[in-house]
Amino acid sequence: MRGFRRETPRIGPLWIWAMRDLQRKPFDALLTGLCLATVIVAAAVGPLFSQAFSNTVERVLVDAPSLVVRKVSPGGWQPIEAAEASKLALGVPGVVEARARLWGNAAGPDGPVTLFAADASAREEFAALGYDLPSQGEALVGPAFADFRPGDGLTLVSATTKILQVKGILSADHALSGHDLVLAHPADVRAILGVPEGMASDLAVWVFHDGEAEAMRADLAQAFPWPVRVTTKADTLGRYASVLERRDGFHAWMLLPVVLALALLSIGTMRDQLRRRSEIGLLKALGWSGGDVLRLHLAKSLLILLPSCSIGAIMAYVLVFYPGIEWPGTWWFGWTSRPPALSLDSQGAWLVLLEVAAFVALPWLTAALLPGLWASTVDAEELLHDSR
Amino acid sequence: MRVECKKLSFSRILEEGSASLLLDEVSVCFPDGGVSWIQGPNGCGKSTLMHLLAGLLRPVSGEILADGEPVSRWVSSHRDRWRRQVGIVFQQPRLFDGLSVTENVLVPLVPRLKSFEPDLPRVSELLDRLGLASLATRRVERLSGGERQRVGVARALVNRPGLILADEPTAHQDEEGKRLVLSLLEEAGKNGATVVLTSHDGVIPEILGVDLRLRLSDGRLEPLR
Repeated sequence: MRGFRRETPRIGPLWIWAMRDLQRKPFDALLTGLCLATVIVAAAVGPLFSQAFSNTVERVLVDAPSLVVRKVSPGGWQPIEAAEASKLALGVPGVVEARARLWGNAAGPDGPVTLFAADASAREEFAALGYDLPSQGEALVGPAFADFRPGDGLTLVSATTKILQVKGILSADHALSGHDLVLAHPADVRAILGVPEGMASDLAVWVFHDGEAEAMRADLAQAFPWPVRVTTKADTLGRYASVLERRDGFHAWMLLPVVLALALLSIGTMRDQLRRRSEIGLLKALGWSGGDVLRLHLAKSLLILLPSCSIGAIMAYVLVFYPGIEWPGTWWFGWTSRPPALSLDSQGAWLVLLEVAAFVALPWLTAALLPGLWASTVDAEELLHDSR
Repeated sequence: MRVECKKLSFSRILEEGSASLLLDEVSVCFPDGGVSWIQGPNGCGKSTLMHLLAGLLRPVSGEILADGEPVSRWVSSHRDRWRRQVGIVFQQPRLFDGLSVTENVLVPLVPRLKSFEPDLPRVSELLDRLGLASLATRRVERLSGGERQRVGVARALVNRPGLILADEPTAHQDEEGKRLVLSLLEEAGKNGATVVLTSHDGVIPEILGVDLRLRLSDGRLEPLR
């Protein structure tokens, strides 16, 4: 009797016992697991989409020009004199590169598309990505045209109508920036948009440091003899910011039912555990220590929680990133056509999913373990009394 | 295991707030490796005494010594671990519904099993001896009162405890059931366990060799001849 041994607990059989114990009320366990998974999905979709969207925006803006100059008139934008505009812009101190761009909107088979001229200066850039520049009469198209096959005809309508032959489809990696893009030979773009030879749609300007762009806006505007509108990368970010605000508002709105559902789930679990405290008393009466009881509760909770977290995280991930998933774009941006693939930073996604899992798991696990923790310190008889 | 009560007193608080003295300075030494039988009218405190001996309750005064150790003074967690050496048969079987007969018998062993084996020879032996072998996989809520009580007996004996406390183990049993239960308890006593049982059943001394007969009445425990 004296100095009886404190034996090392064996985890394996306890886990099997925990599983068997859950099977006593299988529907309760299944329903709790499904509720937890649903709460995780609801909590994770927003931050996951937010993170993917931020990544995509960052990637798009990395290569964007520091400033864009457009010639304007009371009737709207006007084509800009390409060579003269480039020369004038390069005369402004701080400007390191100025490139006239030929692009515009045209009507495509399923709605408006962004038509962009791919001139010879971009040949190497395209070659690095694995594409040949389109020749006259050809087009490279974005992921929104995934239904097209090389050789198919693509009808574009703006100032004039032209049918271009699809040469290739840009990969989904080009995401948001190239989603509804049609890259064509400059001569074709001029013809479709009605931009005369020697003119361009706008002038893209790169400065030594993006932070100087705002200060240079006025200098640049004064360098041209025509009225121009100069926009900076920050202006573009501002447009995204309005989307981000909508998105954050949506998050806050989503969070309330998630928190309420989690609270309800946690309280329900705690009540259920408290209702069964006479069983804890019985286990203790049969020689289970407080630690054994607590380990059993932990095993039971984890057997529900771990699959739920995994299923919830996978479902949230699939709902946001599965190719062809349309609802996030429709909800946040009102896209009606095939949505662009979002840029995915797997490390960031894991972090978001881990945060959400912890946000859901910790309160529920606390609620599931607290009654066991309390009961493990109470006299067995006191707990046995509860079932009388 | 040598179990001794020294001036053990216990009161229960009644609903109206007054205290009822159930045990009044009870002193007794249960024979090591023998069978003790406690008789007494309903509500005299037999179950309370069993729960005190099991360390489920703490006395108001006095103490319980197990092999000289003051069990009744220990904290709850210490008594929980000590109870691994105690087999308890409750007056109501207190089984885990939703589990099979075998699984219920296994409960005391689970935290210390090396691997999960429902077909332990000891479990099979007990179920066989108690006439429950054919019911091994049946869920306990589908058993009769007598069968449930016998599952409780098997559960109490499964880890070969040094102290067996059986509160009305023959309740709900037919003659064959009584014989099966009492022969197992007698065998446990012969194998060195200290067996304390309470029962109204006068047939007990006819089946079981009793080493100590006691009567609990008005809070006093007195030997019977």
